[in-house]
Amino acid sequence: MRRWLVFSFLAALVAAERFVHAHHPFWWQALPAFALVYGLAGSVVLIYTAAGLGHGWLQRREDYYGDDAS
Amino acid sequence: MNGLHPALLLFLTALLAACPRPRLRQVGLLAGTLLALLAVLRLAGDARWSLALSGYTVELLRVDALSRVFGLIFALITVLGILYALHAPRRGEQAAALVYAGAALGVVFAGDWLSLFVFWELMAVASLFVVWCGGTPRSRAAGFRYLLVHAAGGSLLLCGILLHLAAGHPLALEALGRAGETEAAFWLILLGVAVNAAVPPLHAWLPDAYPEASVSGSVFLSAFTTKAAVYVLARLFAGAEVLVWAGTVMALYGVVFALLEKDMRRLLAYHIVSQVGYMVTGVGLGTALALSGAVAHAFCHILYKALLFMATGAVLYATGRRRLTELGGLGRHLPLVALLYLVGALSISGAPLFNGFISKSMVIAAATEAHRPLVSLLLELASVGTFLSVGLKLPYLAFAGPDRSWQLRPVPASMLLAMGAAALLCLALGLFPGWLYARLPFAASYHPYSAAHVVSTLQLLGGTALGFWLCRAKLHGTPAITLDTDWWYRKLLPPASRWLIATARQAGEAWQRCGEALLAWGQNPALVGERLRRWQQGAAKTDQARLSLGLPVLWVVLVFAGVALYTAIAG
Repeated sequence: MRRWLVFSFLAALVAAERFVHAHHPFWWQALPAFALVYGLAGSVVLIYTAAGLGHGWLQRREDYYGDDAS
Repeated sequence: MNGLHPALLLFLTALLAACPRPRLRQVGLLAGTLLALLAVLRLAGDARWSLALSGYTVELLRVDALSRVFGLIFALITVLGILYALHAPRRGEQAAALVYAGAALGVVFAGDWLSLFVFWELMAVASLFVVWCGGTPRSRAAGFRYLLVHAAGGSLLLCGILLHLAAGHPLALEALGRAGETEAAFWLILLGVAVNAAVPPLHAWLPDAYPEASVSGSVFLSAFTTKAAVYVLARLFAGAEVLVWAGTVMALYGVVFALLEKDMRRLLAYHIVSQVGYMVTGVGLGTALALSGAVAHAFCHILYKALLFMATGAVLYATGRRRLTELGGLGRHLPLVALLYLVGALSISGAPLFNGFISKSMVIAAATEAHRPLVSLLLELASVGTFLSVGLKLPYLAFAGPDRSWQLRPVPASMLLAMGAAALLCLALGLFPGWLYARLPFAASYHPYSAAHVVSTLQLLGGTALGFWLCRAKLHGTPAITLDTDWWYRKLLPPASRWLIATARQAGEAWQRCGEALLAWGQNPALVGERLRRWQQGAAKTDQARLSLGLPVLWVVLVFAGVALYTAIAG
């Protein structure tokens, strides 16, 4: 039930694009549901970038810097 | 009253923190900070405090539209911060925080390079004590690292200022502009300010030190240092191209590191880096809309970031836990804190009706207007990341999730009151942006509430929420820390300095042995036999083999004399 509410809200937002008058300086902003797709794709890309950086390179155990960082 | 320096009022109020009677002290501190706010509001446009110092005119107070709007938000957040800190256990923290706030006001109202630098350094020293008032071994160690970085940054700034003045420029502050980009002074000053603005890779002091301060100390720290740096950038470096990209990198850098962060206050600290990125980009773009956006965003950012630090501080105060992996289910126990946190989270995410919406979008609109498609897209991406970790991840892990049968310490009313006031201001600015826009120093017209803008913002946030829901399992994980550029001075510097000291000592000892070998040739031959006999008997003192203090002193004197001679001849 809740899931459908969320999806219908998002669908309404996409539909609303047709009724608002907008001025698009860049061509991609005129694509249908661009912001929605950008938000979705952007969040997935950011999460995977961060996870890759963290697990592959930057994350360490909490006591890595010795006592003062415990 | 219309010519009183507001920093002076805060310095005087700091003395009140010594008052031993709690009620009297609380009233005094609140009254003092309110007076300072009133002093900023009443400052006349022609108010001046000048001192004549041996041929120079030092201007401690100079007011224009830019300094007025920064002064206003600094004074306002000092009132809220003191209200939040009324019950803080360490009175020294309140005094340090007030000196810190006063120094930030001093930077903002400084009319010349000298007073700018003095207040700049005072800000560093006072904020160091705010960090140390965290009172833990971690805050002590982080404070020393903070001192190391800010001493270096302050020295860069001082070198830049001295070079700038030596080139014959006047002492009064003036924009360095685009023409100066080849001068060393330009880059030194920019680097010194960039340290305080937390531009990567010079930013690691911020997520290192801010979360180690006390619950109330972080609120002050989150407000002043970085935003005073934004003010200086806006005054001196408007339109510097390098800042456009520095800011864009900052915005994304902070977001990516915040996603990895397990400590809720370090997460927020990385979002200071990210949000200041928008302001730095705005300053770099340099158009009236961009500069207005940078100033408006600094104003709004100070309010919602203080609110976020207050709310996570209340969680820390109540639970004693700061790692997100140890929190959960707090929404049921601290509903008011959760609600106020969400106001701050929606503000920083730029949701319509909240104050982030009316300021962040100005910077993005300015990038669009300046035909910077990549900058505009990357800043939008940083907004996605902001909503992802501050708006979704942190509340999901702290306030939602399974209950942990908490034994909570009750949160004092003064803390809740300060949070409520900050939340109200966030909402009020979001609903009535005209009040802030009228105070912006650069003439630009901007209307955030167009239907298309609201729809696209809601779509962006909706898409982000969808992405979060799909990938939320990725954001749990085990407790861990993330390495940042402070690795260089935390891991590499100690062995490097030990190696340097050991090598210098070995070199000194070798030098000493050479000297002793030579000495034997210069002494009375009749004594050689006596010396040899003493040495064989083991009576020689080991102290004689140590490097004496006199030698290094002699070297320092010789080098100094050489440099002095050189400058006397070359100058």
